[in-house]
Amino acid sequence: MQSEVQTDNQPIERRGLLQTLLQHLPGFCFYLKPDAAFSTEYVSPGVEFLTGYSVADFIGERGITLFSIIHTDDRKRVDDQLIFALQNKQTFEMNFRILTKTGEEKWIWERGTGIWDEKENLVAIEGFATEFTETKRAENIIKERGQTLQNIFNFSPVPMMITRIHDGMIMMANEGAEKLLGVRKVDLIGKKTPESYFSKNERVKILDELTSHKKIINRETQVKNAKHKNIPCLLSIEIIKMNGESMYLKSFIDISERKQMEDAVQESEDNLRTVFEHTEVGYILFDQQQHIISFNKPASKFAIQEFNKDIKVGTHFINFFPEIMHEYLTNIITPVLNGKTASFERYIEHQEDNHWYYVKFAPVFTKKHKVAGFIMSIENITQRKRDNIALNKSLEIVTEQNKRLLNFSYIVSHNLRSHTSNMISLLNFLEREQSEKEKAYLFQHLKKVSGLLNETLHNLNEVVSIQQNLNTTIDKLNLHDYINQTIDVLNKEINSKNAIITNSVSPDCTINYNPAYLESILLNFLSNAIKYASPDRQPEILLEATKTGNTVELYVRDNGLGIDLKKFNDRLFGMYKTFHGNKDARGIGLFITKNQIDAMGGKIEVSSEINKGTTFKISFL
Amino acid sequence: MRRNEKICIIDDDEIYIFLIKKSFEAMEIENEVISYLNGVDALDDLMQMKKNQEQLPALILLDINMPIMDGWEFLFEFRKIQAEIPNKVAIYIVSSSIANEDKEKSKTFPEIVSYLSKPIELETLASIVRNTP
Repeated sequence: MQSEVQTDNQPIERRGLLQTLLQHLPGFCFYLKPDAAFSTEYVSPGVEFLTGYSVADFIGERGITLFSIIHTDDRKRVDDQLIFALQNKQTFEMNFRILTKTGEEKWIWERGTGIWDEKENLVAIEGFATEFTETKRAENIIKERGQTLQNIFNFSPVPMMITRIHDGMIMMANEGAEKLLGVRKVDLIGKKTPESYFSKNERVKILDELTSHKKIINRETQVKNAKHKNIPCLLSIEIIKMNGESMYLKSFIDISERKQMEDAVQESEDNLRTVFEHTEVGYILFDQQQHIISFNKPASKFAIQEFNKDIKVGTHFINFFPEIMHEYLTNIITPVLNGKTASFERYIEHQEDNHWYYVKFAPVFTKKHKVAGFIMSIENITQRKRDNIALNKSLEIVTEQNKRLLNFSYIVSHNLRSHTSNMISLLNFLEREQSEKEKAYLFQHLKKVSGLLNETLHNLNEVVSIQQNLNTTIDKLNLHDYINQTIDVLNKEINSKNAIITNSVSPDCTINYNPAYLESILLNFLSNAIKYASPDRQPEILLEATKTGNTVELYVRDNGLGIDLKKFNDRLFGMYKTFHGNKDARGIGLFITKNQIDAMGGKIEVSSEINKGTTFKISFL
Repeated sequence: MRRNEKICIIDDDEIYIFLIKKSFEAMEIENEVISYLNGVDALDDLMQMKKNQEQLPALILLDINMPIMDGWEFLFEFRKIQAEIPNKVAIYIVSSSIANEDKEKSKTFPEIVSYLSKPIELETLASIVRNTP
């Protein structure tokens, strides 16, 4: 064993220079066996200086191996690194601590490789180890750290440059800077900083700030790139020392995207604001405590116009409205604060015309779906409402006209047809009749029919003329006086029945009406009341009027025969309808009256009790 | 229709009544014709006949538009006594009304045999009389 080692050592020792070198090296060479313990085959004498153990300690039988003196904390790492290197047939290089013979901890740097035969079998491990002193370690760390910093600098997405202060020479630039400026690193480094990176003004300001503050942190500025495009960015400058010289470390944060988004947000906000201010609809935003946060012009216009109030930010919702609306609004707002929408239509009275508004409340939610407040929108719908009312009115008129037209067609069909069909039949008989006497008789009937036909046509003509005269003359008429005039006209009839007529209408009650119609209407109701008086009692007729707004309602009450309304209600105002078998009844009066009242936009209502009396209520618009 | 049975006309149009009677004459229908100008008069008379145990008309030609009591009211009242009448009465509505609702309404009265519009042709009148049992 001993001789073998000697033999192996011999060729090395023979080289005197190498031997001397090895003896004076602050380290040792080693040659290990590929056994499980990596036992030592050869180790150079420098090992004693480093470890305190002699060469013999390793080679001999004492069982010390280079591995066994490694600090227990580092053994696993060294073992792993070594095995990994051997498996991959790589050189290994590692730092670890050892414990010297005196128990001292020492840092060792070791580098080595495995040796393999032609059959790829590991035959030995050889290498060199030396002390890895504190300074060396520190240097190493600094070197490593420097490398790391270099890497961080180079690969950081943040554009960075280091420039020498005294001449502006670019010492370092990273990939980020390449990208930002659109210039390759090689074209940057070693060149002077181009003055065009910042505008003249900006450059002066930057230098001023540097002089006074010695650093710049996140200054919003613009850098001109190789394509002369201004890129908005945040600039930071720090003065650093590098190789003993003062440098500027400049870093840029590209905020063009953020800028674009900010601009877009600003723009859309501007647009919204424009819409908000120029819409016809008033908007008021309230917080959860129902205080005004903001409002637009139409809303403040509304408040001034309708309530003579200035809206102020911070005031309570309810103060916006007059007191009479408070309770109503409090009820409306409660569900809104619970996340529901609410709306109502309402008019505000004005002398000439009412103003209609559509008011809507919509809750405003936080991201967590809690009610943060609400928006109130106020829309003036006066015109819409007016149009609607006008539309409904014209629809009513059309419906009413249609009804009248249909009614009229029935009248025409019934009253004209009955006469014409009689005429046809009479003429048929007349044609065939032989007897002169009978002929004369038929002729007499024919004459009668033609007279009836003529009368019917006359009546129909009267109806048509009423319906045509919609734009007939309208005067301010004194109702009280007109009633008295009618009483005078009917004097004979009144006296003959000994009727008592009381005109209780106020002497200053006036209506805007067609004079001829009013005469006709009053004459009809009064003469009917007399005509259908009860023979059992003295006829009493009372005329009264009430006025509500522009509408006057005239009541004509009698104590006459009464009408069975259950039976006749739908036919009361029909043409040629008579109900009492009265000889004078032509069944045309109420029909004409009704048409006249309708034509003036009024109404007739009737209440009656058989053998007690009848009350007609006539509305004059 | 047997000779001794009566025909009743209820219509406020006197000339129409005259013409129907004239038509019967022309067709040599010799049944007795009774006529009324409104529903009330007719009803009163028919009630009296029933009371006197006279035979009621086998055929009634009824108008709708009449004063005091119109055709529908007459029918309504007549229904009340109809069950107590031993002979069957055929009722025809004869009206100058062209209102569709009248025609439709007539269908709701099972006692109405048919709805006829004025003027009635002689042939129609003849077949009505013929077909009345």
